[in-house]
Amino acid sequence: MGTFTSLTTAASGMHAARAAMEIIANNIANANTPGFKRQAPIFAEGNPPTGTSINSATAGSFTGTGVQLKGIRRVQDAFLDMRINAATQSKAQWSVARDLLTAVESQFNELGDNGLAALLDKFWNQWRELAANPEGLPPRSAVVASADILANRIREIYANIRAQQTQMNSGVATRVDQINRIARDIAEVNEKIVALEHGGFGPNDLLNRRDQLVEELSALVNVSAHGNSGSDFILNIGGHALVQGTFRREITVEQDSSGAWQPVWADGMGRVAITSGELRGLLDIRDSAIPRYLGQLDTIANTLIQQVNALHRQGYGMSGTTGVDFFAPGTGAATLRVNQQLLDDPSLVAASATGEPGNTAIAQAIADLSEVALIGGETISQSYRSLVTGIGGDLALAERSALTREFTLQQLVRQRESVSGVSLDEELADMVRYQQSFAASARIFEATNYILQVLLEQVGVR
Amino acid sequence: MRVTLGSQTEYAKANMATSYARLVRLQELVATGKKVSRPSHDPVAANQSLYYTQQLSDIEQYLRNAGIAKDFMARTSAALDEVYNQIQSAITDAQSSINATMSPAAREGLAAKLDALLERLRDVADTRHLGRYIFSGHRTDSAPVAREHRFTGTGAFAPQATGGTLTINGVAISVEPGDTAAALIARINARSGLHRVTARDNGAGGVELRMAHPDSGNVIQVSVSGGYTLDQIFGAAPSETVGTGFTYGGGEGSVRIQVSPSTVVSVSTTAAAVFNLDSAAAPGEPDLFRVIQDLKQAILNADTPATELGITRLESAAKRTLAMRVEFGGRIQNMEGMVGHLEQTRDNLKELRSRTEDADVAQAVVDLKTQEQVYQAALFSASSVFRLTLLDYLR
Repeated sequence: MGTFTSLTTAASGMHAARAAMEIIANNIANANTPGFKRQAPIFAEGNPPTGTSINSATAGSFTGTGVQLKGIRRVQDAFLDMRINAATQSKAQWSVARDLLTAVESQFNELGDNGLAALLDKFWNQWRELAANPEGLPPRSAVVASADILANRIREIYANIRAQQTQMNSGVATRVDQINRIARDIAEVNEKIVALEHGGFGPNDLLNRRDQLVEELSALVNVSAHGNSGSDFILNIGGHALVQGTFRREITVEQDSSGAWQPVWADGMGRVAITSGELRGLLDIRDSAIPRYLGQLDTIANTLIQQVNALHRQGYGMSGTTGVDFFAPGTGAATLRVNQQLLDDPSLVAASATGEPGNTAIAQAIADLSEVALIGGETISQSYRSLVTGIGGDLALAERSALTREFTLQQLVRQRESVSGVSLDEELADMVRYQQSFAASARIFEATNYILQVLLEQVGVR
Repeated sequence: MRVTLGSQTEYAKANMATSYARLVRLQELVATGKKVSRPSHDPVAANQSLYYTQQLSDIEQYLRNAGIAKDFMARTSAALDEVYNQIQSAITDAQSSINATMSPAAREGLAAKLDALLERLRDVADTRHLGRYIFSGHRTDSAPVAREHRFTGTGAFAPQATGGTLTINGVAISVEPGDTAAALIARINARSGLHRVTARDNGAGGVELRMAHPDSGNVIQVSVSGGYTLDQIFGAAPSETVGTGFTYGGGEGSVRIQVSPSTVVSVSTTAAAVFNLDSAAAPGEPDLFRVIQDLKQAILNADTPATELGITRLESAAKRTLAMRVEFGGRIQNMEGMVGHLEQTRDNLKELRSRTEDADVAQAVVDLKTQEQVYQAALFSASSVFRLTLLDYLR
């Protein structure tokens, strides 16, 4: 070991301090960059000298040879990332369900005065009014008008919800496009990682970028990521690889028998097994919740058509007509409308069971339908109330679920921030630390320089 | 735990968002005054609230119906009063005529008075409430007191080998080959659209049609085509005859109005019951109009036994009328009780609904104020914490 060793040792210290300052500068610059994970230098002592010369000042032992920068690590907790991805998936699923159900709920606008329940009440009560006042045209016109408003409202609600359901198809297609785009980005990032990585250290910025893409993807669909390097990185959806190293697979949409668009693997591996994320939320509402609501509306409409018509056909109108349907024959809420003949001529509305104008048996019997349990042990009004409160219940559940998952996610993100986030105060403290370390190394350099000067003077080069 | 700028910001943001959302919800509560403005706020309360709304809407209808029923019964009751007064007046007149010294001119005067009284009673019988005859049962469009029209011939129904079509007042009924009178009568009575015409046997095996109608012109129009002639159906020389007395021209049943989910009240009675038409109320006795006509004759003839019989009959008619009058009074009272009950139920339901869906505004305002303070505190604490940085202390 030579006399100049102190110079190189001090130089290595200054070099390390400068590298640390660069890292701090980068950390501070990226303090608000999404997906950025703070970086820290990995320092190690210098390699022991290989020569046999022994420094006289440290006779018999080795001194160190300074410091070296072994690498720059990302400060992160991979397990936390996994949990964040899982939490993102389930939060996204419930948030989408909440948003879609809010739109469905708003269709019903029930607690106002013009809800369907109020129109249904009005319809029955107009029959009661007709039963009390069976001779004239005005109560008949009122019955027809209330039925017409009711039928229009049911058809409108049905059509609007149906339209929302159809619209969700494009929601599915858009998200499938997004998945493909993100998968392509990830494969590209992987390609660059493979090209750049060496010695176990990948390019940190690319790894950050990939983590962030995976998180974005998690909002859409249930993905799970394995592996760290570029080539052995695998991204799975339901057991099939979406991305594997630089290879990726396409997802596309296909119409099923009911005309709904379903995500399928483009290379013929069938339906994509979607268990969470926004896509799951969309599919749940489109394929399970909405068909259930529409089915209930259909049952209500069918019951109205069948029951009211069966009674009405037996009755007599003002001019003795009989056998007339009250609602146009049909099945399903989409077909519910008042018989056009009655709209044209309300005198055909039948109140009498015998043809005598004071007989009100038919009007009374139709009004009494409101009290009869016609749909699974419930009256028509009860069944409708169950539908509305069922939607309210589903939405309340989605809202609560979205909220608790949001909290979980926030908690996890905060935890990650706590591990990987940049604390300006901490960086500033480190900055001071490395500043002083640099200054101290510089002092050593200066002192050594002085020693060498003294030595040279003494030796008398002058 | 290591606190970083990011975690601190996220935390503060999340807190502010939650706090603000709570503030907005409370504001909505105060602004709308409703706890539940969407079903998802509280599905159970929403269901209850919808149920109460339905019940309230039903009760409003029942109250309207009860009003209609009360008016109808009040009208009937007033008409019965009038009938009772007219009968009493007829009795007084008749009693004054049992006097051997009464002059024929005075008797003529009494007879004229009874004629006027009869007309008055017929007017009462024709009382209409909102265009409905109140004493006509289900046939609220026909006058309750009518003449009986009959259409028949003499002799029996003669079955033919070829069928034909019988048309009665524009309604066609098929007459089958080899039909019997009984089968055809049943078919006519079962035929809808002919509700004022009834068929029966004419006493000689032929068909007889009857119809109660206030007019005395021809009202049963009959024609036949195909294998039958009118004679073969009705007997020889069929023609329409109009009875001299009165008959009930209304329908069966009474006007019925629903005033609660389980109560349908009958609010009318028939002219048959009030005036004993067709001896419906007092079997074996003539109707009130006939009694008065007979009485008039008896007075003109100074026939004391006949006058006394008339007075007895009028007295029993007065007794029946009074009984009906009392019954209607009771029904009207019941109806008032029912209205009171409905109104009380309505008030209860309104209170229940209000308790279910209305916000406690005072409480909500206090909560809103508190939440406002909390939000301000959150903003203040965030702003003061964010100001702290090491930068201020480094030189």
